[in-house]
Order: sequence, then structure tokens, then C-alpha cells
Amino acid sequence: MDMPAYRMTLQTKLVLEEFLTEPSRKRYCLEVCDPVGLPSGTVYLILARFEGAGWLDSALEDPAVAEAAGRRRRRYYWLTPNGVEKARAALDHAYRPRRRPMPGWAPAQPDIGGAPA
Amino acid sequence: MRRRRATVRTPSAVEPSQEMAALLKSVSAAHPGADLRPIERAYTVAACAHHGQLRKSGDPYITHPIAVATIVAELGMNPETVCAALLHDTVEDTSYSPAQLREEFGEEIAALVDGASTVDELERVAAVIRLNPACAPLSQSRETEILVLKLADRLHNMRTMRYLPTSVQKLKSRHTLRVHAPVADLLGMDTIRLELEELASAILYANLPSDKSRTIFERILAASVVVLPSAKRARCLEEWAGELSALPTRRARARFAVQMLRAIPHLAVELRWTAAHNSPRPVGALVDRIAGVLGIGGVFLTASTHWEMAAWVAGVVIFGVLALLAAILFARSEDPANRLRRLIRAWRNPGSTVRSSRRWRNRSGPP
Repeated sequence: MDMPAYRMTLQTKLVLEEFLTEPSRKRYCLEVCDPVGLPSGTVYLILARFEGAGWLDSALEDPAVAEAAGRRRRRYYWLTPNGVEKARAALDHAYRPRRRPMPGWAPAQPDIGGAPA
Repeated sequence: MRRRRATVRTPSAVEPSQEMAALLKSVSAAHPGADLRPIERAYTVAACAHHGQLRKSGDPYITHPIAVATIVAELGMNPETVCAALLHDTVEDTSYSPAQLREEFGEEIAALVDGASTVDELERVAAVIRLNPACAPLSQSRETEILVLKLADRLHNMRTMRYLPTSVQKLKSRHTLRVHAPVADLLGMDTIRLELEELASAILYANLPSDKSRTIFERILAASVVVLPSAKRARCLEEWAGELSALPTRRARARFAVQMLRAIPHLAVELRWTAAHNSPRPVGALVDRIAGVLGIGGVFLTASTHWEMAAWVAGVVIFGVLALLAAILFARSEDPANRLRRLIRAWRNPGSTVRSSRRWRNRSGPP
């Protein structure tokens, strides 16, 4: 097992999707909270988890920028190249249909292999 | 050199202070049996060279090298680095020449003082860290010693910054946050990094609109991060302070603080779990293998070794089951307790128990 397996909860999926909309952009915690509509505690938990796994990287912002804006420094997060791949793969897996549709009720889907029954 | 020695005897300049005694004490605490004479000599030379110079605070200049050397000594650095700390401003700010320094204190200390007088090294390391935070560009110990010297120098300057004009204070604070704090982080000197950041932030953010609620929420969060792993506390607090300071209203800050308070227990579990999984565990791999062989029983073994919380839960469950068993066994009648007592007595002194029971039987029972 090269990485810890995460449960892809709805919250986790939302946060990863938000990061994947623009993978190169750096975001701070509250910047992620607003579009996904989650409380900051939940988002912070997910950020800490994926940073620990190496999917995300983080750094404090330049002091000059914070000072010009009249506040303290924020911590910015972004997806690592490895994280982009893993996040895409994890979301693909999470959104894969769990049950095959009954024959005759829906068009047959191509077998992409490895789908859990 | 002879002239230097002659001026060294000037009584007012070389009177060893209490600070100097404390410095020598901390050097000998970190390096028992170290030769303290070079440090005393370095102090004498520095005191003499800086004689008549004053800090912006009005103190004699020699208080600064002594303070820097004390910081260096308290970090457990070697006596050579402490000497270099005492002498770090002599070549730059006084008539004491590099040649004299080399002659009196040798190549190593001269190289340290020279390194501490140039700016490039620290900037270079900070730039490397900024480009690639994961790297560790420190190969030589002398490089590390020079960096520690510079950090200690900056730390004392930051501590006594209030005597400078505000514009200079801000400039230096910005520089400290950009250059010195990341280098201190790289060297693993957390206390130094935190103090540098605190001092610099206090200067840079002094004119933020003062709002009581911000500090109250910061204090509440600071009190509740004790449940987080100690290595992560400062980082989390710093990040949350950043977010809090950007929120416009008291209501938004309150909501942020409540949400974080609710998440802190989960965060504590998460961060400990991550730390346990990311740290190298040679023993853990062996446990995994044993657990694999044990099957279902192995699940408990794995859980309790991998996850601290699970170990606690397992401990509580096992203790509860034992307590329940004991209650069932001993509460119904006294027989099991008596039997246990006899067993323990027999185990503690097997011979005497047998003899005493025989004696008892002979005395009271029928022949």
C-alpha cells in the first residue's frame, strides 16, 4: 500500500473538485470554503489529510503582500503534480457506478473493468 | 598585537559582567570540560574593540555580542562558534583587522566571523528554500554554524528593535520573515523561528485596526490546540490567526472560531494518524507481518500499534472485560477469593504453606 486509502466522502470530493477546477492556482482555506459551502473546520481537516498524504503542498504568503493588505499571513495550498493525478483517479473511482443497470432499462455501458459489484 | 594586548588591560572595558558569567556557565553546561579561556579572551578583545561604542538603546555595544553569544551557547553550539559570536562585529565595525583575528584566534574562528559578516550565504539558503522547500542544502557544519550565528544576531537585533526608526523596523521585520524565519525552520530551530516571527509580526501588524474580538478568538484557539500534536500547534495557530485577521466582522470571526473548535478533536486524530503513517516504522512492518499471520486477532494488533486512539480504546475495552470477569467471579461467593489467596500464598513461599497447613491439621483435626 503506497498511500493511505481515504474514504471519498461528499465533502472530500467537493474539496478535491474545487482544487481540480484550476490545479495550478493557490488557495487559502476560506477561499475553498465559500464555493463548496463547507465549514472551515471540515475543509481544514481535509486539507491537513491530503497535505499529509502529499497530494497538497502549502506555504505562507509573502509578508509584504499580507502587510499591504493589512492582515497577517495566510497559508496557501495547491495540488502537487502527483496530487493532481491521484485526485483525478480518486474522483473517477468515486463516481464510477456501483451497480450495473438492469438489462433493458438503460443503455449498456462499456465495461471499464474493476468496477466493484 | 602587542598594542592590542596593552589596550586590553584597560580596566573599565574588560570588567567581566554578570552576562558574561552566565554565558560561560551555559557553555560549560553544554560542553562540560571545554576550555573556556578562548571565550574569555574573545570577550576581552571584543570589549576592547567596541569600547566607547553604544547601541541605539544607549547600552555599551559589548552587550550585543554577549547576548548573541549567549543565544548561540544556549543552542548548544561549540565554543568556537561562541567565540565567533563574541567577535562577530569586531572586523566589520571596529579597527580590529581580519589578520589580527586570524593570528589571535586561528583560521576556524576567523572563517566563522568572516562568514557572519557577509550577507550572501543566508540569502542564498533562503532563496533555495523558497524555490524548493523540501531540499536541505546544508552539507558542511561550518555553513550551519555561520547560519546559526546570523540567526542569533538577528534575533537579538529584533529583540532590541524598538530603538530604531519605524521604517527601519518594518524593513528589517519583512526581511526577517522572508529570510531568517525559513532558515531557522530548515535548521529545526523552532523556538528561534517562532520568536523571530512573533517579533516581526508584532512590528509589521502593529497598526492593524485593534479589535478585541480577534485576540479573544485567537486566545481561545490557542488554548484548545493543546490536543494537537505539539509539532503542529504553532503552525495551525499561525494559519488560523491569518484567516481570523482577514475576516471583516466579529460575527464572521466568531463563526470561524466555533467551526475550528468543533474540528479540533477530529484534526487531532487526523494529524496523529498522518504522523504515524508517514514516519518510518521498521517495527511496524514486522507487526504487519505478524498480524497477517494471526488473522482476525491480527486486526486488533494492527489497529492498536498503528493508531494511538485505537490503542486507548483497546486498552479500555480489555480493562473493562477484566473488571467484569473479576466482578462475576468474586462477587457471588467467597470461595474463589479464598482459593486465590491460598494460591498466592503457596506461590510466594511454597514450603512454609505446606508445613503450616500440616501443623494446622495436626493441631485441630482428629489424629
